Amino acid sequence: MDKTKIAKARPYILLLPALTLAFLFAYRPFFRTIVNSLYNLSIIGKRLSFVGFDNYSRLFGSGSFQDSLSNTLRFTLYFVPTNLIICLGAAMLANRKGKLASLNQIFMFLPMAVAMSSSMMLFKMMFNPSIGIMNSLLKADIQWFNDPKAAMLLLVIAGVWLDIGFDFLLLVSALRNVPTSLIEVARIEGANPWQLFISLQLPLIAPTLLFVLITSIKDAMLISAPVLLLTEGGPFRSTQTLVYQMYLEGFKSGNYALGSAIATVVFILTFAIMLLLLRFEQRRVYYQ
Amino acid sequence: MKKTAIVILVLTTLFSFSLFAQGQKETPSEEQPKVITWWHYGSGLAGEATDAIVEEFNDTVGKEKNIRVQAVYQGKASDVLTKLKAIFQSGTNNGLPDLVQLDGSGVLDIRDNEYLISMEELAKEDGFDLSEILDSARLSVTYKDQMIAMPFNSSTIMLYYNKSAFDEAGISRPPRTLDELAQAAAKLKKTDAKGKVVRYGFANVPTTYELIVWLGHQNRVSYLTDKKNGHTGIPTKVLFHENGTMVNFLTKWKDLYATGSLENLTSDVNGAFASGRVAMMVGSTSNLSTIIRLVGDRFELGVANFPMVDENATGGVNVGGGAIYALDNGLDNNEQAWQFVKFATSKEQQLAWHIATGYFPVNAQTYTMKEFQTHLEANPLYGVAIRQLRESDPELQGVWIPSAYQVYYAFQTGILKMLVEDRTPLETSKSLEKEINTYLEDYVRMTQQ
Repeated sequence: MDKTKIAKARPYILLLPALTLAFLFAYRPFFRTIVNSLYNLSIIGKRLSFVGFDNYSRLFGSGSFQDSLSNTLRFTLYFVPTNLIICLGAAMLANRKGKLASLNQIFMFLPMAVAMSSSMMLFKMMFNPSIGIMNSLLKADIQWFNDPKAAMLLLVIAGVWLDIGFDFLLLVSALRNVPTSLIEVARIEGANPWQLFISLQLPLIAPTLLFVLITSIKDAMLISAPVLLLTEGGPFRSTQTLVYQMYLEGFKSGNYALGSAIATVVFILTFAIMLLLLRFEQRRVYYQ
Repeated sequence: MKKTAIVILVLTTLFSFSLFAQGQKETPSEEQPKVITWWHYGSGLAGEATDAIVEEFNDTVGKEKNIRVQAVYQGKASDVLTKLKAIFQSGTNNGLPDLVQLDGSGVLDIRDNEYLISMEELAKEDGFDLSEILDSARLSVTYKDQMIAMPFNSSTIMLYYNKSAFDEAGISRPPRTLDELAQAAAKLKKTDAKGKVVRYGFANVPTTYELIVWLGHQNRVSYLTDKKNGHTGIPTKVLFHENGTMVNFLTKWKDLYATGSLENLTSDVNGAFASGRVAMMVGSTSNLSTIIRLVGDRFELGVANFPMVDENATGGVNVGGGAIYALDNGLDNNEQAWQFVKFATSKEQQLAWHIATGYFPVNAQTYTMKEFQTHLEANPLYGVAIRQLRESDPELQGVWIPSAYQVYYAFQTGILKMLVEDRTPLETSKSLEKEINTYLEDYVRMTQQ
């Protein structure tokens, strides 16, 4: 083999390990799930018979699924703006010079360093209505795990906590990349902080902001682990999300057919939202 | 350069050890004990008591017979089941524990598994007399006339009440029926000057656990599903709607809610009860030790029989809780595993277990022990559960149902909707029948060959 051929093959060989892993753990299960959703599956996941869209019609007719769908969309609606505002606000506040600024940044970034399951266990204790610290600090008697509204709020708080470290980091670095010369010019021209933010900083961090927005929506649509650890879908299924129901049907009950159907629905929904956002990006977001 | 050489040297030395990591398996010797793995879900007081049994076994019988039991806490009962099912799905018995503790929600997944070893057979091989085990407990794990597991942490449901609050409200005895419960709850309810409820009479949202009894003890014995609550085969449909037990129960429940003294509490009921915010609750007899500890000297605790739906509901209560299952993992440990099961359910161990946790002894001989009698005299609350169980019909059994999680939430959500959206008991019973039947149909579909 001559040298040019090797040189040409080189990138593909280097790609191979990553592609193999991606194929094994992402693409193959992905397509299998879609195909499986059209079959009747046994309790150990073997295909029994082709049933077409039967699983989907069973799914859409189930009250449990309607609850999950509405809960997931409501969660997304509450979580995404809250997360964006809090992360952006924190990034704006931390984006200043001074000795304490870096300390601030470390504090905001710290939640990322705590494993999710440990932090959720801590949440569970902190929000315990009788012995938790939260109710005693708030001097309130909120039934965090028993009142559907409070449970949803708790889930939003947990979601923000889980996302804040990474999103904050992204937004802070984006804000830092706004050239100081431009800011100085704007200040000299007499722009107030609000004008500075809307007309200068916001357009310049828009690509990062869009990335944060997309990942937040994805996280919200796929939320399951905090549900599993904190509320287990309760009370009264008020926090049962789509992916949590998929886990219940598939792994708790062995109903893989229904689980696969839910997985496919979640994928299509999330993917559709992403496509819409990306179209929006092409029209509204400018890269430098 | 020298540094890199040292690093490489250290790494190769370390990696070479991995070649011997499985070494102990290849060289069995006389001195090395057989290791029995036991997956369990005992936490808190039950966890301490579980460890105590294992430790004592390892120091006595285990030492003598060269067996070592390794207890592995795998989380809640549902977590143990999830992990077990993952191995079942792999299609091999590699990595299965020798023994596993499961509750009623796991029976359906394990009872027909090819790697399950019937506990009755292990007992018979050893010449063990099964009548040593309490009838109701034995029947609670009997499938196709075989005792497939050993009942271990057995419990029933009962009523816990705040005796001090009862005295204050002038109620002389605990309620026997749901009608009496509603009356008592109304008297126990307390509001502050602003009209905010500071004490509810009763707190509960019925789920499978309560309904097995509230529906099951009507007309002596009724079942939630066909195939005797799934004990004789795969259940194909629910019976509670057509036999009217659900409507009957829901009617009483709605009356109770109408008094305004019922709190629809789904979590931390123990905490609410112990803090005095709720005057009555129902719960497992196995919680007794924990609740005594939680209540402390805040008020006088009382326990009583689980309230009947009406005067015709005479079936009593079923045995719930968990049992130990033996599995074939290819290591040929069955005999040793049985030795431990026998030890853990011996009369002495069951007495210690009962005192530590409140689970009732499954060994019939424990009840005639002198220490047991003295314990009951000193702690009369424990006697209530045992008397209640003796008066119950052993045919009243828990339900082995697929999609147990969804069924649980179906009951909880359906009953709450009836209360807050003011639906009729008939409508609610019908929609519950419809929802749960789809889970049963799905399961039948999944298991068809």
